[in-house]
Amino acid sequence: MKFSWWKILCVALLAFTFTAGLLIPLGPGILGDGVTPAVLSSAAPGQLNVRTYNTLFVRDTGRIVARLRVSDDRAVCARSVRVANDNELDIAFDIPPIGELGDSSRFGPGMASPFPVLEIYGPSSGLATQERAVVLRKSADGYTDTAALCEATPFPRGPRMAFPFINLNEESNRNLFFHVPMWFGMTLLMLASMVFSVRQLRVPSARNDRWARSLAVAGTLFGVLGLITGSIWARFTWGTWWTVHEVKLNAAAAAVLVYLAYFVLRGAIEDEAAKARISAVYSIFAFVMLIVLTFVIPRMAPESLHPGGKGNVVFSQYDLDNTMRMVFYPAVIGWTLLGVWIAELNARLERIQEAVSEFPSDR
Amino acid sequence: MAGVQVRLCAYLRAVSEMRAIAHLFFKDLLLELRQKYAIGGILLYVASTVFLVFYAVGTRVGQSTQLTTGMGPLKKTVSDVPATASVWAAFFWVIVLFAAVNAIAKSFVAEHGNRRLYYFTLASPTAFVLAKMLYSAALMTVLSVLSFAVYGVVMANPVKEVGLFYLALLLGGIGLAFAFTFVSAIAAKADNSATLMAVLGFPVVLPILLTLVRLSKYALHLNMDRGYVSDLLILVSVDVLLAACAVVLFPYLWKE
Repeated sequence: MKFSWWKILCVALLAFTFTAGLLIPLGPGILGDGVTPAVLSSAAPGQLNVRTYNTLFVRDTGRIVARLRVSDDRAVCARSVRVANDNELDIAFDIPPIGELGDSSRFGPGMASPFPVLEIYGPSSGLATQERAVVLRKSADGYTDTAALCEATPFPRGPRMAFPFINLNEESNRNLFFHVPMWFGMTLLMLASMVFSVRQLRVPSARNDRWARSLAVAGTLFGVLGLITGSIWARFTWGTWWTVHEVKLNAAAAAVLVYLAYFVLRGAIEDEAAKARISAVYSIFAFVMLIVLTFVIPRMAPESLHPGGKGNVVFSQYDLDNTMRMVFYPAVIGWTLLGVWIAELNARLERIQEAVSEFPSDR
Repeated sequence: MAGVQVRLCAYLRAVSEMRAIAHLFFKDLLLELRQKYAIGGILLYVASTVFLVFYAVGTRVGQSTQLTTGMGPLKKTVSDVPATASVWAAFFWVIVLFAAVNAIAKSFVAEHGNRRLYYFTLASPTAFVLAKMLYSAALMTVLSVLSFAVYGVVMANPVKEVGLFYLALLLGGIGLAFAFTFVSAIAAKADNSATLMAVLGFPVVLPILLTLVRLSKYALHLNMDRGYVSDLLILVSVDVLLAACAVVLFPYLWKE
């Protein structure tokens, strides 16, 4: 048997993706609907009930620091913190008069100020934060009592290795290692299929055609899996299986359809040489359409619900911290290698079938 | 001296290509004008679909109808809710899409094998495909404007930004023409090409149609932000890419 180091690498990377991607816990976070009440008045005492996720407040009792950050370096520090259980706190504030939150000119038009940021830190829990956690009513005269604010010194790093807690996403964060590599993998597999199609047009051979087809099969499989994982994720975070308000979703589905048509075309031509040549022409064309559909249109289209916002196809730097990156990049390589592996098996199977059909059957 | 000759040769070849393109273009136009039933059939298709849409939707856009018949105890009132602009746009693009399929499907599929062979002895494949695409684009421009006219008369015209709508119609029509011409060239090579034409064509024109739907939302003032420049750019870039693909790949299709 031929020694294939890349298959071992593929298995190792995918094993790492599944173990690290599913076992590394999520960092501490404040639940999206976990802060009540929604509005606090400045220049008055205020009480917040906060429900959190993956925190160890009981162990941290007496050492919890809670504050409402109102600008880069200033915060309203809690007067007292009462621990209800590991994931619930009652925080009392004496809120001084506060006029403007942060320096609003710093945030561009349409960009909401992140303040007030609710920050809760415990030595065992780590730091849980939520931007715009409450609406802080401004003082009547717009005056800010800076002297009554405490200094927002940065907290030490959390004690555990963890994926960031992102509201709405929560544990579904881990889908990043399965959903996004599908699109990376599909693009790379289709690129390889296109390269074999170009070679097929230059030097026609059964091998080039076989590989072009098999890589397209694997790429389409990845595309379908990308749509399914994306649809499940959309149901969890946006509350719907499918939406017309996301151009990436519909463009990606169209790209998969373009490749499904490729297989219909292959099925429609009897003559082997003509099939190889014509489907190679269509495959090159399909790859151009894939690039248009997954890179050009999502970049130029005005609206997107995906993280990274306008003009960013995949994700912004802010959504991906180093712990996620440590799993994400191996996942991309591992899944892509798996796609190549599937394509290789498919191509070999086809070659064997051809050989068997050519073998004269006497009986 | 040799350099001049080479350049002269290239120039003459370019001129002869242009002439070939022009000749093939007018050949197609002449055929169309001689066989009036082809274009007539498409116009009939447009007219009957528009009528069907009008009958199914029941009202013109933005105008509710109220009919009163009879008197006294026999008095009967029929009133309809006006059709919305988004329904108007949806049906319009469906009509244009199928008009495009019908009009352009024949560009390669209808040419008989022997005649095709004859053309290829006369012109280069690039000239041939360019002439076909230019002719399809011209035909689509005429057809989409005619469809808009008929549809606008029957179903009322809710378009607020006429210039933008015509620009979208032009660029979209050209895109549909290029895509279906190329797909028709591929489908002509296979058996059962009429079905294949639809199967191959629809996913390919989806990016054009998605963009057209967004653009018509701006033109109908269903979407009030001014982001249509990027959509127009998408249409232009898709048109250019389709033309480039066809020119580069077509020579491989007819080589046999």
